[in-house]
Amino acid sequence: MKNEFIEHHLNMNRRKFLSRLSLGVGSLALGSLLIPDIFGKGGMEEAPFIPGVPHFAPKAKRIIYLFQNGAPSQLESFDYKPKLREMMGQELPASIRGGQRLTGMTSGQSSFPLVGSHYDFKQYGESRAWISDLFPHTAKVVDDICIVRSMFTEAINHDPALTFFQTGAQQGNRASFGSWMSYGLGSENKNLPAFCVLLSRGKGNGQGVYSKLWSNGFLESIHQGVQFSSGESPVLYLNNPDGIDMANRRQMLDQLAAMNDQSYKDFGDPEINTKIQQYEMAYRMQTAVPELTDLSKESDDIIKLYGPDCLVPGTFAANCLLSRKLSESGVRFIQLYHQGWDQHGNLPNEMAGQAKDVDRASAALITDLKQRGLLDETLVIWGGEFGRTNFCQGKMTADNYGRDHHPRCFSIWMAGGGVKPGIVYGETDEFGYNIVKDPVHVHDFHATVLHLMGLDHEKLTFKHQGRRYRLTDVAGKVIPGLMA
Amino acid sequence: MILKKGFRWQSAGSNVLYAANIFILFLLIFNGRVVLPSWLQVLGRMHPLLLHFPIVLILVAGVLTFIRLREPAAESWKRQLMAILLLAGALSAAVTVIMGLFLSKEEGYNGSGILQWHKWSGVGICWVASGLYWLSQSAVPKLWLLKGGAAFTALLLVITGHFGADITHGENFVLAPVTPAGKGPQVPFDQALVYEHLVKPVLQEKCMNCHNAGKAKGELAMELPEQLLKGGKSGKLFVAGKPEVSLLLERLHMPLDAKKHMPPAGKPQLTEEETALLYYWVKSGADFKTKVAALPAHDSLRLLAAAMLHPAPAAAPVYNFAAADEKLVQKLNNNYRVIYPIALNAAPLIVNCYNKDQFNSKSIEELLPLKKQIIEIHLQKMPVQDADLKVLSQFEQLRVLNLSFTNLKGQTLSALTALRHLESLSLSGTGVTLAQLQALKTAPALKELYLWNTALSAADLQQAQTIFKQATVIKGFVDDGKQPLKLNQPQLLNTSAVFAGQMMLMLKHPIRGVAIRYTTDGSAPDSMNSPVFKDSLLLEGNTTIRAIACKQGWYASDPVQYSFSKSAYTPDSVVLLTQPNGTYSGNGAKTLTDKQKGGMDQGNGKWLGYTGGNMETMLVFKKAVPVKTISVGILRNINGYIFPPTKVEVWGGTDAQHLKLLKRIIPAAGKKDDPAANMDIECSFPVTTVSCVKLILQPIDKLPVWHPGKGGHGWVFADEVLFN
Repeated sequence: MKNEFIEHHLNMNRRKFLSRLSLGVGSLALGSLLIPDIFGKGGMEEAPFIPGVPHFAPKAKRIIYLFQNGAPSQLESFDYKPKLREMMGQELPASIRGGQRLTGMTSGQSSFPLVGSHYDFKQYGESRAWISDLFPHTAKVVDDICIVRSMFTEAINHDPALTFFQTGAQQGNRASFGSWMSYGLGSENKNLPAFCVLLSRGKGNGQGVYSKLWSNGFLESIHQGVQFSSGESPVLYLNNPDGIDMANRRQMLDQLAAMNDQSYKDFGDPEINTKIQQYEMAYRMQTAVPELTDLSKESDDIIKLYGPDCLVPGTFAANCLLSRKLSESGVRFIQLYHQGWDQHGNLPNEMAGQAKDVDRASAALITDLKQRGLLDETLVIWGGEFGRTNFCQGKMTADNYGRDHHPRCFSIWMAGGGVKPGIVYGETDEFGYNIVKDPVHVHDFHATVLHLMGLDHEKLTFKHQGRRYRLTDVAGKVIPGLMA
Repeated sequence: MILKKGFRWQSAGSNVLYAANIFILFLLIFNGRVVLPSWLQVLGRMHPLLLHFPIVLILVAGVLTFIRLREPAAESWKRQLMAILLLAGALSAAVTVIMGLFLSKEEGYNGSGILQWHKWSGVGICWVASGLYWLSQSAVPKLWLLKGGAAFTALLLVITGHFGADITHGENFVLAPVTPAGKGPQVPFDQALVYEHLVKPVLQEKCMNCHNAGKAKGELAMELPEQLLKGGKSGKLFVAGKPEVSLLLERLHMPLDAKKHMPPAGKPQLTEEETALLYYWVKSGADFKTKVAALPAHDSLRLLAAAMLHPAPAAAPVYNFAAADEKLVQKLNNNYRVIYPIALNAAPLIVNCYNKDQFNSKSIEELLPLKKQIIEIHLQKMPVQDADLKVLSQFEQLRVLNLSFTNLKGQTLSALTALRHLESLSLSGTGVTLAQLQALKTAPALKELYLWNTALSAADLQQAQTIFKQATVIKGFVDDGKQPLKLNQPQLLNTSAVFAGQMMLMLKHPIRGVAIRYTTDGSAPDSMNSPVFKDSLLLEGNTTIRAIACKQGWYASDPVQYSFSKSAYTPDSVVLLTQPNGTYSGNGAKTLTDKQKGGMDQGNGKWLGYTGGNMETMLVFKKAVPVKTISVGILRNINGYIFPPTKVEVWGGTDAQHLKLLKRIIPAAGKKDDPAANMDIECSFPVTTVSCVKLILQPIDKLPVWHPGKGGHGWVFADEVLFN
């Protein structure tokens, strides 16, 4: 009896097998109903990205990026390393350098003597952050800023490093940071470009900036950065030619738009539509820009806040003041470049000059945004493309030395727009050569900034030549420690 | 027969269970790609309801596995019952799991650790219960396996239930009433007391379990300040101001294994931060009433407190209103008035207006249909009038209103008190007065009031702050005048440094109200006596002007110096008979007559540089001119190998074939310490009518012995040639 029972169970007949199998297939089929396009080619398709709207409620609406082009030394600004003074002139231990590749400028050096900061550091604010004497005004706003001492990058020369910072790749054919922002969030004020670029130049050894840094890359050309120049007309070719008034201009644009529209219908090239939009915006900019660049209504206190140079077009101070006005007028991304931070030699003198150019105005920008209630929604970023070596490049004397490029650690600061104020993030070793705590890669920085702007860096994509591109390429993680 | 029928049901149930398990497997594998239709969400939400069935059914079945009845019929009946219960339990578990997986697709379930634990233990229950059922159906069920499985399932049920409750009710829900509130007291920084909000919680958590009125170990209770001051059996707890000799800290700092170490080994110990807090509190005098905010700015205790007083995280604002019609929003959106939601699919709207020429009262009125959704309106710099406030006061949901630098005079401010949610109001740069602001006293939610750049004096602003106790009055940056800045230099508007007859010299300064003071006699200008530059200055001859910028409240600028030269005649053509060095070829022959001075930088393209051979050039006038002096601008930079020419010759005549020597000059030789300079070498001669002039400059052939480049060729640099 028992054996029969077992036999019965073992003899799972064909019908039972098939009915079980059909049940299994049935439930798979049921499940597959829940997956859209499972058998279609777009099996991996995500929900479509809608440009122009944040993915979630943003902390910051706008960015002002005070790029210090040429790479200011972290060791004379925000990363205090007393040990380097103690060990002045002694050789950098090979264990610390750890085989770091050098630029062509120091790879021939037979020795790498450590050199301490020529300038003293003091602690400021509630955060007790160490800041060098070169930045007295930044020190006054230290409780509003977040100093990141643990930035690192991959490039060791200016152009690749700068391109990496501005486009997320070293090669320079991608869309720039500001263009991504324009693409992702759109323009707030349709009378101005979403992405503006302002240049200034200090007396220090400089490195060039090129328009590829504000290129739209593969994105639509409406997203490219518009450079404001320091001359009489800040935006070139914006003014009507002599003898043409606004009515004429309007008429001309209407005719042109009609023709462009026709050729769009004929060819269907989306760039034609972009062109029409750009003409229309330029027309509206004709009234918006003069209103913006008119500094005659700025009060004396504001001028004293930014310093007298803020009224001299083309200076960093003037660009800071203008960037505040642009930001106030809803420009998403304002990219400043201040050139002259490449101190391979004569660092103490040149850096003092550079710091003097930017210190007061950078701090003033924070104060000014704050008193307008704008700091909460505007993210201000200050920093260069990499750091500088803790050892001397070239001849070292008692009060003069130089520093070469250093990718392994450098300092930047951020303020406002959802960044945790009054903190110092990350730490480097006592030689100021390697990061020992909380490293922040350039991709991480991008991911974090996008997050603050309400964008998921993994979802902000653009399909080009068969693959999806991101500002953060295939890496980057949001750093919660930087966010309030 | 009944059995038979029951068996059929059971078989069907078993099949369904099988199918359901495959379905679960599928859902787990394709978890990331599943998109739920909304009707399935309804099913998902029944997960918390259904989950009670498997708990009961499986537990009962589990209990039955441990019961053995003596009566064989009863035992058989019990097994039957157990199998049915197991099947029902496993089935309900499977359905619950499926619903749970559906529910987890909804927003808010972020795949956190707890969720993962809950998910996998839940799936575990389903699978183990199914396995048990099939096991119980096998011909000779292994009893020990059944029992073990039942016990294991019961354990899984507890675990799953616990994590599930954590998800639904929040972590630590059950124990929350008896566990001390999380780290960091929830008081704002400016109201916190050092003892009450920092010290006491530490004592409460780490000491009072043994040192309270009911259980005063060592005769010490620590609940009240008096008790702390009284101390215990071993004496006083602390000496105010002297942590080094205080018993409290001594006990804390003893090695952990010491008998008298407190808290005793095995009990929760103080963190470093907490020990430091007690140390600094005793050091500061162990006062019971001190406010944190009253401590000096960089006091260690204050800094420690600031770190510990985590400000309560601002709860994300909740908006209880429906979204506006999207078409309406789109219709009201235009190039000069931008309306956008705070985020994707969010109801609250933000409005920004741009371009004051495009703005009028209608720009606001038209927005009224959206008044239930708009939470921010930014109208800075727009020509908003007082009358417009009445319209603005109807936007009942308004949180932020920016009216800075508008045309407001302030008479109608009281209208804004109707805005019950208004938190931030900016009136900077408007005509409001302190008296008018009183009307806003009743604005209930006001937190920020921007009042800088108004007619309000510093004292008024101070008073405004006392009127609006709940709000922060933002007074803006005002220069205190203690550290005056140095002005930047005046700027020259003229582009030409050489003129023929007369020239209007124009200087300006970008800052309003700056006086430019100048001299033309080479002396240093001063801010008191030198004449003030007015719009322009007429130059009639060679002039060097030095100027400074001065203004009350600023340091005067560094002086700026400009030189202007008169050249009565300009040659019609210039030919270089010898070519300059390729690096320093300036703008070719034109360099000599372009009315631009070369400046101090030889590499700026405004100089012609020669070395190793003479500079020879021919300057031609179409119409002969009477000339008395001819001068040529040169550069001297001894360190840069640039010397004055060793010889200058001027030849002139009415045509190129008939030139005679008008003047030869041997300029003073460059000396070692001569500073770098721009110089004019002037050749004067009796008035001669010329149409062709040949100019020859000879660079120094051998640098002197004191020069680093001794023996080598020197350079000569030339720019403007002037005829008078």
